[in-house]
Amino acid sequence: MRAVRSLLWLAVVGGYAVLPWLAPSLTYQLTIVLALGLAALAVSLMLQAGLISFGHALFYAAGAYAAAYLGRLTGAHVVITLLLSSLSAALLALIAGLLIVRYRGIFFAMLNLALSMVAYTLLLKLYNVTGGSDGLVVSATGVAGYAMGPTGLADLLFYLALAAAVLAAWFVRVYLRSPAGWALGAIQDREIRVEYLGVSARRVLLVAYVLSGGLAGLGGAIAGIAVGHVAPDSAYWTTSAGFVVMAVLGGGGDVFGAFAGAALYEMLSVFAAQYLSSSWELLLGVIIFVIVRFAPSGLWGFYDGLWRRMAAGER
Amino acid sequence: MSAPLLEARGVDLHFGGVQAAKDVNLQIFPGEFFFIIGQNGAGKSTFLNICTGYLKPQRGEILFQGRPITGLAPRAITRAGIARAFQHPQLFMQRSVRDNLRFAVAAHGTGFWRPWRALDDPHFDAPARRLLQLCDLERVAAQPAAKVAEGFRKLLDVALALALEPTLLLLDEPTSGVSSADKHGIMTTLAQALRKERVTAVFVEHDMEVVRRFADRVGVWANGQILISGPPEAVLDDPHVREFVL
Repeated sequence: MRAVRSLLWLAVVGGYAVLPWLAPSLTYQLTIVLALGLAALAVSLMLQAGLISFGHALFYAAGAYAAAYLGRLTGAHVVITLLLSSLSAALLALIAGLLIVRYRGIFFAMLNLALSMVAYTLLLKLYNVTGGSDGLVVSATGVAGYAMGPTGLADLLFYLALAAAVLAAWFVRVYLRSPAGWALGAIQDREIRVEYLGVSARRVLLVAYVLSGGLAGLGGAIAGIAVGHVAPDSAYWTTSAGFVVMAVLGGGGDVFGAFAGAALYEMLSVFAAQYLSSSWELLLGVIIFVIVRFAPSGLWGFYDGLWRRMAAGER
Repeated sequence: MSAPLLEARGVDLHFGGVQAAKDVNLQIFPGEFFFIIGQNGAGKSTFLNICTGYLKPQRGEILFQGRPITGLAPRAITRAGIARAFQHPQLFMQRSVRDNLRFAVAAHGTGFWRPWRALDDPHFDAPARRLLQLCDLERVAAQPAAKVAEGFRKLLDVALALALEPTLLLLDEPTSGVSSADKHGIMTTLAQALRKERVTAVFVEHDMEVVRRFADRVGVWANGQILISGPPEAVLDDPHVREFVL
């Protein structure tokens, strides 16, 4: 049964990889799903410790703005831009995390939100540096010295985003099975026992927070390059709330849940907007209600439950 | 006589008008089982909380192996070699007994920060198996901590502390909430495990039968002070202790 599930995942990743060939017009949207999935994965990582962040758009925006600057400095080399943008967001998470990981519950959520709104205001007001409400152009023209046309670059970015998403999902999965990753759930359960086992809960959370910031930043950089532009809205609190919705829709039980949540969210925002005009959030609200009511562990939990029932049936 | 492992010197702590510790002077020696007894509110658990860094005394100091540890964070005191078990076991309730122990082993040893080393790696699993055997927890190893009986939870709480290979273990009422039929069995398992691991232990205990059977020395607490301490026969049969404490 385990082998079948692994093969199924390979088929899903393989199927996703050939979609741009079958429907080239979807390449942009498929890339954005991966970018949002990385940000949702970042939020989902902190949810393992029971900590909900309404401010991860800060790191998403940091990644996108870093891509805008680094694109110029690195001669628009996509791979280097993505890596350095992610590292920049991780560095910002390290600085913010030194303060934020001291707090739990609603204080953690609100402090994240506050910092992201401070960043949003700075992005708006520091016009000479950030372009103000106009934002910045994010330019990327190729890789390893080869300039590419818009279509080639879109394909390249898609496959880079897919590789980054697979690598990130694999790494987070491995990390969550290690003691430092397992400690996140332990902190949610009994922080006092974690401390009395000689482990610093703050350090465990800081490492997770930096990783989380790096993932969100990577997502932001991918989205920035795909769009070719970044604006202060990327740091606004509603962007953060979107990541939380994706993480909840997908379910925190496994890393793939974040990507499933991002795919559903993006599908709704794109396709439902065609038919429901500006009220697609109505449909989103109904779907959130249905999932919370009937599948509280999200899409992943629903899928996992099906496999468990099948495995139990076999026995 | 050997040098004391733990020493309290003139420790004072009050919460508003309540004196929780009043000029507490005590020495705990290597290898002994020291039992703290006294009525509820006498300051027994407060003393353990002071020794493990949960509370900071307003006056006096605590020395461990001759070094002051007063006011250090619980984590630092744990790292120094003092572990504790709680009156209400502090366990990772949704996880299996085995995973609880693997995590405690990982917390103490090397490899905690290596992401490629999973919690079920033999590096963590082998010592966890030894602790399961030592504390008689093998039959419930696969069950979530939330699903096992209170007696097993008490043993698991101690096993988590033993995973840290402590020099001194402080146990707050390790048999409370357990049926009187199971008490002696649990204490026998604990005592054997502690002796085998060569761990010095300080117990807070209410059951005088348990104290009489397992204590090397007893200290009687009242109003945050030590009234009397000494061998269990001498202390427990003292008329003053019998009248005011027991």
